[in-house]
Amino acid sequence: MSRSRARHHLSSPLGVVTVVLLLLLVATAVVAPWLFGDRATQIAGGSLQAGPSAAHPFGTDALGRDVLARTLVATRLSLVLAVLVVGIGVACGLIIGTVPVVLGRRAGRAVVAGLNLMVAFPGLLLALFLAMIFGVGARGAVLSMAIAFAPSFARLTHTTASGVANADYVSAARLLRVPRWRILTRHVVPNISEPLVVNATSQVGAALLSISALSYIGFGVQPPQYDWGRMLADGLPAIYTNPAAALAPSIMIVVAGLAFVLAGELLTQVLGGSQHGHLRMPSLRFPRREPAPAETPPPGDEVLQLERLTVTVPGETAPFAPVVDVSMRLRRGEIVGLVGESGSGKSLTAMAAAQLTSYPNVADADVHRIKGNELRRMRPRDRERLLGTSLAMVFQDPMSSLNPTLKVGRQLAEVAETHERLGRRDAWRRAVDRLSAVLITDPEARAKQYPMAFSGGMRQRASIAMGLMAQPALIVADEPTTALDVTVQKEVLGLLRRISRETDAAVLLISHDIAVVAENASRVLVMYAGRVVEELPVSGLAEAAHPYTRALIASIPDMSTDRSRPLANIPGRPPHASDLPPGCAFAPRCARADDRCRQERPELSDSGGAGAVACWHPLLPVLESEA
Amino acid sequence: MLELRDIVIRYGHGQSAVTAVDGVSLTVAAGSIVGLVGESGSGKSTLARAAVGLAPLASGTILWKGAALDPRGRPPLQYVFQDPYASLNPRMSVGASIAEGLPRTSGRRDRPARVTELLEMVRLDPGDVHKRPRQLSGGQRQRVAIARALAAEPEVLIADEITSALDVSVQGAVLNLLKEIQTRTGVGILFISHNLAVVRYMADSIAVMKSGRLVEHGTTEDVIERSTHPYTKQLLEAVPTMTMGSGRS
Repeated sequence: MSRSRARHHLSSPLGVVTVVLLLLLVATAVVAPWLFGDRATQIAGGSLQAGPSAAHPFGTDALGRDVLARTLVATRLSLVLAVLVVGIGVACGLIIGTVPVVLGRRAGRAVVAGLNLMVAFPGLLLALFLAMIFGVGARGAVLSMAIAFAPSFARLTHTTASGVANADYVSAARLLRVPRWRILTRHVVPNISEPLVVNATSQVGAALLSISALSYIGFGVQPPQYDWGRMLADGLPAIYTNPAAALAPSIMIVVAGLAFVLAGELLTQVLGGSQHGHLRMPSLRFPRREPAPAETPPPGDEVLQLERLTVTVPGETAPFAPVVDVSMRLRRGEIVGLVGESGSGKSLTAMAAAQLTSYPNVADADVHRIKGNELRRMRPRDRERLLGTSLAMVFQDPMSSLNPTLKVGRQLAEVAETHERLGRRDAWRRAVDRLSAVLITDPEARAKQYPMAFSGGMRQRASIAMGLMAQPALIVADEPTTALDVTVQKEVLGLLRRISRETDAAVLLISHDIAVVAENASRVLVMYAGRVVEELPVSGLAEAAHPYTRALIASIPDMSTDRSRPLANIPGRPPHASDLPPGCAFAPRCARADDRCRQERPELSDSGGAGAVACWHPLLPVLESEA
Repeated sequence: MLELRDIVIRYGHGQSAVTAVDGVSLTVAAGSIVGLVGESGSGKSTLARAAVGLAPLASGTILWKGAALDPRGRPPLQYVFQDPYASLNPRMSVGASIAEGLPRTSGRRDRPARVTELLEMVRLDPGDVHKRPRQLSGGQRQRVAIARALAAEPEVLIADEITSALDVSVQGAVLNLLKEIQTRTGVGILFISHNLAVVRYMADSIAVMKSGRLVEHGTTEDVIERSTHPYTKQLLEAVPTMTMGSGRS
């Protein structure tokens, strides 16, 4: 995977430019001193500080030496110095930055305090000060720049390292009594190397600039040695008579600096900083199907009608569809459960049903009606209004729908102000009323609080109350109780049931827990690998026809499970949506599967009872006599 | 055996200090599975982390076979973390992760054989030894984490919500495995979960925690069938069951 990704990035325009520039620079650094070494020191009599000519494209310097040759030869020294600065700086930074992780708490704090002091001190000032101490010359310049650069790199190292040091796998290693240095070399350093490598690479460009600056002001490289900064200093006094002599080293400094910054950028992408860069996006046009003609007027009590919903998402090699041909109809006052394991596509289905799919994911359906209105035939404004007033969404994490910086009552009131143009006071009154409807005690006072002051269960109730600000005909609840404790879960689910009963709203209840659905819904859709594999009334769950549904039910331990026998489970793992088998997706885990199952995919069809099943060998209902 | 005595754990300083665990005593005998249930914030994970030294004690003592634990010696306790996606180093192969748990006294030559043995014990293909965690499913990763903990030959294993990050269809396999290993090796297990049905299946005795305190403690049968504390009863009632449609009127 990472190899193909690297190739992809290297063949991009940025990649090609960067690699070519770097190769040219390195080649020049290696070859130029051999080829032009003599020319660069040869003193041409008579043509001191001459302008460009055929023999000297960038003219000559004060001693009559060829500027172009000198610039090319100087590449080696300039690059070596810059790389040395970063190399020494990185080495010091790594040690200072990782040592606090290994040391005890107190010694670690002392190092960090020292580090903070160093970071606060301006780098250039430090470098100049150190250059005085080390004395002028290339060695002094490199050491002072490296020491000036080390603190910021140490800070970066320390920040990333302390994140990793708190990871569970480091705790596990500590419990296994893995020696400290080994934790550092095997667990911490490998996991922080990516950002550090990226940073160090782009810092080479900055170091090049700084070293050139030091040489330019006379602290760095001393004659007869020369680097680009030194040459710039030599060429600048004659800028009016011979600009080319200063131009040549300046161009090289800019080009080399740019090359390293680009290299840092490229590394970021190759090492996985950018997620979208290497994924194949679904086309916005290709799957778009025409909305079906509105020939069959839907029954008056149908709140949601979804036919053949497909959701396409970006993939490594090609876009793929984690949701395929999902159809459902919800009537007023009905609670329908949508069950599936992680990766089955249930949440993508929920988001698509609420028209919340956003690019790069693309949802498409033959029919998508809410209260009889085909959404795709509506003007965007009308559609938004319809969705805003008749649909409510409840998420797993209530904080994702509550703004932590707004008072709860204010957020709720806003819904009515936006969609129903209610006055501020009326909207607030309704917010308090809805908070009391979801059984929040003392709603007047609670409305004036921020979400952080609410417990998990109260937040979820407040987010349900937000959905109730309009009169929703459809509530889509995506794992509404997964983040809650069991005792609170019962309350929140009871609340959803009561709302559905009292306001006649339909509820699409999405859960990974079939027991939660069985206790609260009247009908169940079971999803596996992006498709609905069975649809049945809750009363029929015990006699489910699909082997997956039965196995899923059997795998849940309850308070009557036989403790002396092994727990039921489903062998294997669900397939990834980008790599589905040709036949039934459940076949590899199914005891009843045969060749047909492995080659041909069964369609959802009437299962004889009140449901539908997609299986070549459905289980028969348990007969009365057997039960 | 492991004995936790009057454990108190506090976070923060001065007035804002929060008592996460408030005077809890608990014993895990060799060869037994002790279940610890409670809701989020009840302090059950904090207590377990303190037992292995991952959380500092405000007061109380941790005794191993009647004496204080030697912080430098080979630890008799190991810990299996909740999230197998976070508890394995993404840069280390399965084999290297497990080998890290092996006692350092074991010979260098025996190590590959021990790793293979452990992989077989947790029902993983010994051919997976060179794989990285990202090539494995959640259930497989959790098996690697269990194998790593077992490599250190602990006498008590602390399993902290080890199936709550997994799908129900694979939860059973991981729990069966843990129970089987317990029978085979006689390791004591402190089994922590918020799911009462799972704890009932796994444990010989159950301790119930609420707001940092132990509210009930007894054999599994007693706690499930003759619970005395109202909070335990409340927990029992809240367990979702597959008695279809019972919740609707």
